[in-house]
Amino acid sequence: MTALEVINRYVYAVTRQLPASRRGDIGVELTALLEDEVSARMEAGATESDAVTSTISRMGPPDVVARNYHDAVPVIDVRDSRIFVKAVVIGLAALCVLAISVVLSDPRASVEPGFTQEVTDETVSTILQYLGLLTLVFWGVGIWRRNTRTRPWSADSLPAVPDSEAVNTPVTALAIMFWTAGLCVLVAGPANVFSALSGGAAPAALLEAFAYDEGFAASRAMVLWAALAASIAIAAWPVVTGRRAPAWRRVEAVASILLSILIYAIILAGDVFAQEPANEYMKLAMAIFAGWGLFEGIAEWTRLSWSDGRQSA
Amino acid sequence: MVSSDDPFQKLELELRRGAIVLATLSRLKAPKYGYSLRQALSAAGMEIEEGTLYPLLRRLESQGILVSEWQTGEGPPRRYYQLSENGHQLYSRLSKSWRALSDVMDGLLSDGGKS
Repeated sequence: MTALEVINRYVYAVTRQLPASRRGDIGVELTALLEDEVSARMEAGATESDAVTSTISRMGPPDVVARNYHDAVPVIDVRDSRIFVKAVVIGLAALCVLAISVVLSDPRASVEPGFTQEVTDETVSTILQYLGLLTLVFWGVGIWRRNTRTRPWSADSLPAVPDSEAVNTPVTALAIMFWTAGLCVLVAGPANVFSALSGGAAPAALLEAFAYDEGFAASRAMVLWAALAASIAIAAWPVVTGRRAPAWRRVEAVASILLSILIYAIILAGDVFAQEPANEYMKLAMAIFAGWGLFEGIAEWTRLSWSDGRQSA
Repeated sequence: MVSSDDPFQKLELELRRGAIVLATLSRLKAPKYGYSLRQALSAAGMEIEEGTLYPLLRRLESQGILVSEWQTGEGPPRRYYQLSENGHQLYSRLSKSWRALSDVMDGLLSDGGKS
């Protein structure tokens, strides 16, 4: 191969990675520059072959040279990378929890052989669409930000440093009351609550639909109610103390993980309500609740471990 | 042999990155084409890899810091670059910043890390 052929190949390898509108111009310039380099080396005594080899070698890999012609513009801004990763993790966890919950609760999963595969395929497809959309949104935000002037700021506009142990007492108390009311409905039985609220005039079909499965009511229900009550008590304690210390957050994380595992076990052990579709919807809701609790428990434990690691470092 | 994980290489590359732009601008008050510019920088002791320098000229041009034109005299056609009006102003400001930074660094490095 002659020196010119090697140069032409090198220039082609670089310019094919550039926008079509810039290829011709940069190609001609790069060719002339490489020829200058080769000529200078030959004038210094190198053979044509050595001169071209040394010139190409000093230029570096075509991929790197092509990249150097571009201004570096990231798809995801560095400042957005943390929230992007968070959105990916939370989105993927939510979709996985939903898929697992559907498989655990839908009666078709045990009847139709291809049902689980169908749910898996749909979940994978949704995950890919979600990731694509997320990338597009963050890319757009990056472009918008690069083309927008930085807003003026002052020391007064800086956000306060959050107190990680502080408890939002009114909101937490309201949530505890809401969960307690929900637990009371479950313990009394939705059918009994409907009957009481309607003064005994609730339709028989409604009462039958929300009657507990006998096996569930006889054994599993007691364990579930006790576990839910314990979890509510654990969540309520910081309202009393006014602080949510890291040690207590660990207790909450472990309780959340254990409760989630227990709920999964109860779903797998049998029906909750005697009739469909109430049973299916209840199991779906329980599976979503358990899946999210499991994710949150593990995430909280990981956050605390990282925080401990940073403090000890 | 120096490992590619050697922090010296990485940090030295970062140190040089800013200096390369200023060095390039310093030699482009008069028109020069890529190879002659590299020779001029090399003669002044500033070795810049061809794969870094030639694309840099295009990037600086696209940012409005340099202007260029093809010249076809004797020999092959060559693209000549020089500072634009904005480039002259920018070079002047960057030079002042560089000198100030250089003085500070000289002061910091000359006390031998006493403090």
